[in-house]
Amino acid sequence: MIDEMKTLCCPSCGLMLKSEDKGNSVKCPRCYALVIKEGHRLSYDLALSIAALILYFPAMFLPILSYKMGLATQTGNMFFALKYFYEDGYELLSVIVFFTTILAPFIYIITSFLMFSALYEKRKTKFMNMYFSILFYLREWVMLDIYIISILVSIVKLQATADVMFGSGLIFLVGLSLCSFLLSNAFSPRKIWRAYHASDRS
Amino acid sequence: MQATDLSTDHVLCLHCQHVSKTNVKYCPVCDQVLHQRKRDSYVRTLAFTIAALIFYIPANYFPIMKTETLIFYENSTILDGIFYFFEHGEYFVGTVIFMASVFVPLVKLLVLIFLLYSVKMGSKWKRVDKNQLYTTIYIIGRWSMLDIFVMGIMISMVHFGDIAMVTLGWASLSFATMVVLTMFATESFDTRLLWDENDENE
Repeated sequence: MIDEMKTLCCPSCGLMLKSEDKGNSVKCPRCYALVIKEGHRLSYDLALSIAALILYFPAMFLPILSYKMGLATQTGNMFFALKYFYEDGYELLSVIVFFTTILAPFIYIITSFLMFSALYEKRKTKFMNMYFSILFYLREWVMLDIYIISILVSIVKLQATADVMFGSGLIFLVGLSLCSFLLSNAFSPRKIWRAYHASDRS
Repeated sequence: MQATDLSTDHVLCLHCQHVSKTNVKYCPVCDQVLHQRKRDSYVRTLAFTIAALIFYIPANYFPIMKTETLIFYENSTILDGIFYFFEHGEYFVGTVIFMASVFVPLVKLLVLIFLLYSVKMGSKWKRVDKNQLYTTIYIIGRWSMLDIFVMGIMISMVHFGDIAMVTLGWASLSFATMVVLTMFATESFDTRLLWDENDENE
């Protein structure tokens, strides 16, 4: 199975290539797109997914910012926003925001933890296809990096009117978004399937 | 003459990048159904692009945010928000918001229309650059969600009953829908269509 993976085809222009298979990235000579992306070792992905899993809960449930106006103080994170979206009659919007900032990151992290731990321990799983498809399709819907930038923008926006203070959740959120960014950058289909079929053999 | 997967009867699995013969129905590595090109790529992309264009108009025309305080009531569109930043000297943030919520979606839709047009015409003009263009809009497209997240944080922070209140306007829903539709449109486009036409003449 692994030997057959030597013929390559460029995913963005369809050119057939012969692979030298040195374990490094290959660029297409016709359209200059990346044909193979060799990721890091499996332990790298596993470590990142564990770190993200630890950071996830404090990042999501602790307050991110607090805002003082007169005597009243308001602390907020995404859950409050969702609640108000929902109450104002924008159910669809709250579903979209819930999915991209809370649900999708969680599913992505859990799935990569399950998949990479199985691959790392060379354990056979029945759900390999499911895990891979989830990671493959969910990758661009995890919008934690955008969420971080949007927090910065709203700090600038709110600062004009009142005091804005960082909440304890913000540092966890920054860590989480960094982990999930690195994790999705290290995603390499070829590496994953090679590791899977290598464990198949032994 | 360069050999592509079409001319040599091969098919590439977009999931695991394994190359098989065309008579193989399921990918031997990852069990996915194999198709030589993304299914109905042209029609799907066109449909999503048109739908997104329709949603682009109300998203920019109608107010996206309502600010109520004791002394004033204000409806603001996306552009009003951007002008606000420029008036207050926050040029950097203003530019970021402008790029993310006005410029990027429009450019993305125009690029998609241009790419669809070149596929239709079978043009061979600057195909490498077109590929690059596609990769770029694929990467930056998600960043349009920024404005929605900013809105969410603003709403959860400025929620002081009658004293100061930020609520959503109708445009937010069409804006979010537009962003999701453009993401589907980019996802369903297959760049290999650009390279397939007239390959024999090379």
